[in-house]
Amino acid sequence: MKNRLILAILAVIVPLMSYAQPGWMGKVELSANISGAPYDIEFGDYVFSYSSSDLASIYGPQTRNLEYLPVFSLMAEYKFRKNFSLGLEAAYTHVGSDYYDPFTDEYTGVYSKHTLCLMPGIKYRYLIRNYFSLHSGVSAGAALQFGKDGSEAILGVIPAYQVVPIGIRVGRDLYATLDYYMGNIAFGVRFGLGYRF
Amino acid sequence: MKRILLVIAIAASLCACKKESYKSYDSEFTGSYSYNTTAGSHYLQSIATGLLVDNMRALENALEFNSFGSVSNSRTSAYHSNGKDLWTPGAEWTVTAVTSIKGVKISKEAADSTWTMTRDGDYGIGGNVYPTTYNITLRMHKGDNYHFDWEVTATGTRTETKGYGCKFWSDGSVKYLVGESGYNWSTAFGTIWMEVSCDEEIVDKAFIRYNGSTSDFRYMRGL
Repeated sequence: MKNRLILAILAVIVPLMSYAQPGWMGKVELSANISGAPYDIEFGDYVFSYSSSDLASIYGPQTRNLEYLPVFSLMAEYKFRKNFSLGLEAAYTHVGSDYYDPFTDEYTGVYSKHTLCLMPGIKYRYLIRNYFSLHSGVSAGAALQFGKDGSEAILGVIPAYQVVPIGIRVGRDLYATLDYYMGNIAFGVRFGLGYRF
Repeated sequence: MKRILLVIAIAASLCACKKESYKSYDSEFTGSYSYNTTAGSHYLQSIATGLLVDNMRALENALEFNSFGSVSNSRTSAYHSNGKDLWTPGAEWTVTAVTSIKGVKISKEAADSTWTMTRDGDYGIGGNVYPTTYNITLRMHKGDNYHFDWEVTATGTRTETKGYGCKFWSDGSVKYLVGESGYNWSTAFGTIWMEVSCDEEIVDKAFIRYNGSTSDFRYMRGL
């Protein structure tokens, strides 16, 4: 499913890149963003779900002190047509918890997973006014995940994708954005501050 | 230059928030020792008052259909017999009237008031549906034309994810009395055991014991 989505996103991005025209170039934007809970917290099924009717939940390692970082990201964008810009987003988040033995209630270890991802993407802006515009976008790339799960190391690369069905931008050179941000890295609202060069 | 410094300042301020922005979840919900014990008893309760009662209900539905040719709120296509009356030795019926145990087989061996029910298929406990195989013997006791007291002997296995599974069995028989409250068999006497394994290694043995009410029980684990 994820692979199909990435292919679909690339199928949109690549043809649009071929339409890039020098006449529209010259605008670069950098922004820093913070979004809500990482995907693992909202939908992860390994550590963060708990059920009284599932043996793995009852008898497996018990997780406590769950904590997570919002997803932080830095994004560079390059406007290649009036309404379109290409971007590159680097994001980071972390989720963690402590493990306890289900019988002795003793601390047995820690779960800690860092996620660092890089996602090229494309954004479409519309209803553009002096200090206001709306936008939608998609980005897809890869995420490096590392950390430890009890005594075992976590290390792997997974596909990463995020979609902004709708976002609001306020400002001109200095601007703020508020996006609905959904994908397999973060899910929820994303707030950003940026500057147009 | 000012612009670059502005962007760096914004990024730095967000990073500075990192330490302060960790969010915590409710530790009770995610598995305290007492919650875990309660969850274990709920699991065994689901076998005793869910799985076994579902089979009693299916058998009563089948007996009602056998006697009257129809069952309220049930489809006649939900009953498939080998042509023998359900009270006749050699009778073998397949019943789909109770959705949770669709396809359960009912068979009768002797000319008494005892039936055997078997099923090998998915069964849901609290919304978690996993392969569950069981063999239950049910002996009918007093009742009206529709609902009866039952004496149940059960053995079964269940296979779940992450290598976990369990065996369950009744210690002798468990008696369920239909009582005056109707159709829920909330009065029970007897013990059901469960042995839990992970990757074929036994991790727990537990029991639930009823001495009158299904809501008033003794549960022990770590045995």
